[in-house]
Amino acid sequence: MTKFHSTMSRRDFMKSIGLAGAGLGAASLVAPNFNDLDDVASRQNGVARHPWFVKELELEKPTVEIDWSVYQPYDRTKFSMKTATSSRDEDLIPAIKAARELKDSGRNIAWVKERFPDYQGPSVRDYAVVNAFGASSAGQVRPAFDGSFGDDYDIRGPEDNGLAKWTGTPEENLKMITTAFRFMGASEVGVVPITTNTKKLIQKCDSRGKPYLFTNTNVPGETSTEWAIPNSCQNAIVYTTLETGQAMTAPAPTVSGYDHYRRVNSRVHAFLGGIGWQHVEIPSLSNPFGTMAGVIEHSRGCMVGTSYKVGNMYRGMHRILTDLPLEPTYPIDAGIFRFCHSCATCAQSCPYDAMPLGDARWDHEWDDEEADGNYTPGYRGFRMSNFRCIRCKNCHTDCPFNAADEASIHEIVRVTQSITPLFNSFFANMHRSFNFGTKNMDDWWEENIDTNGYQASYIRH
Amino acid sequence: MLLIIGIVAGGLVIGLYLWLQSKGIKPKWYEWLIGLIGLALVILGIENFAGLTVEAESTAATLTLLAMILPGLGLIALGWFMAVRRQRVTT
Repeated sequence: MTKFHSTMSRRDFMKSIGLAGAGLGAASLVAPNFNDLDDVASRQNGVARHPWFVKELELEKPTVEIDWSVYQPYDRTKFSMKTATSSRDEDLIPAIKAARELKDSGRNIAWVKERFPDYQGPSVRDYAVVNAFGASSAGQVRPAFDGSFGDDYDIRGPEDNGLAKWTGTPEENLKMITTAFRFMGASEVGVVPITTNTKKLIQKCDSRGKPYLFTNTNVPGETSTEWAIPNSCQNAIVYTTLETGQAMTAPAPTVSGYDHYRRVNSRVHAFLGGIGWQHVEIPSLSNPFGTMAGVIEHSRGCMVGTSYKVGNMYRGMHRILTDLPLEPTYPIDAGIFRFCHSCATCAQSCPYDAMPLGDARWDHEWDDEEADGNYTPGYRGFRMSNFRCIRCKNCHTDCPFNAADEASIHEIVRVTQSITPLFNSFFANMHRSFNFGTKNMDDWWEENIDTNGYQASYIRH
Repeated sequence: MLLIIGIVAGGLVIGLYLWLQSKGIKPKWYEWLIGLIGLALVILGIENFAGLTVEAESTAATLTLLAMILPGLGLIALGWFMAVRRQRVTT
């Protein structure tokens, strides 16, 4: 009997391994979009509505079986659904009464503690974050100077839940507000200590001339002579809110951004009041505070600061003065301010030629605005022409830093330019040549948009 | 994805090395370097093409083919021909 041996040489064996590997790699690179012709036919505008494992059924024939001859519209004049969510029927229905008594005995919390024995129970901050959404669902209520909503909505404070106000270390408090604010729709959260210098970043007075003053008052509010801010408010919480990034056009994203930030602003005020701390609302947004907090860098974007993460896509830059002890956050250098000197893409794309094209400077680039004193001096930066800017928002969409993170080239650019400016002009030119930035708004209707139109990378932390 | 690409690329390079060895072709270190840089550009180009397509940046995705993948293929070819021509001269 002859001993079996393969006739394949080692060379041929390696060749076949390599070919098999190449085939596997090619197959994995081109992920199958279609499993069969039905998949092709089911596409709407070339985009599958569902993943491959989901079958589409016939109209009116879902997975739940329905007898349409039996099913009738719900008649609310004859009866309304009896549920344990209301005490209305508890005297009629023993099961409802029993469920409500169980709830009132604390069953919700007891169940959580059965499942998680180390759960401490709802804290003042838990109540605050739940109740915060009442402020935004009350219908675009806006906070007054003291953070309250007047007759529109009552903030539930700690005393309303029989609890003391929240206490924590400055580090714990920063983590808490970051978590809560993001849950409520904010993006970045920073803290700027109130000092002699940073007080200058708050408006001197309102449009009637009534000054904003730090005083010994315990309660913020308007007096006959001033807007009184308690001296105890030693921190400014800075938080950002997004406008949608996927549109890369104006003005719909910025309008949506306004709607979003007003809701978030209502929620954060209700939350801070809910944990028992001051939350003074100074009108208008504030890029200076954003710059000091390190959530943006001052940039050629002028009206918006630029973030290394979302570019010019922060529509809201809010600051709330508080006496909550907080760990400060620090200004950053991600290379953006330096990059702006080589780029100027936003300025070049301005339809009104209202954006500065020169270097950062102490005075104003436009002679007429300089002569009019129509700017805030005291910093070497970029200043747009308010005489010419009609707030079309096109400058938001052309920034190279708006890029998402699906393609690695964006991170390569972000990191490289933060280390060395050698390639900044090249990167800026490539950004324009590759047609990044503002898009034809007609094309947007054909795109596969994510919820709220947010880039996934913008909302991931 | 990148893991699979890496495995495939690694397999290709090993397979190429063994095949060249069997043919008696011994590329110099700089010829290997040129080829590997080319391979890296091709892989980076493919990854960015896919990513930019997901980002709905169709123009940028197409230009990535020209800006990364073509030069990468060119470098691979350059390293190859340098090695082959040198081998022909010496034999």
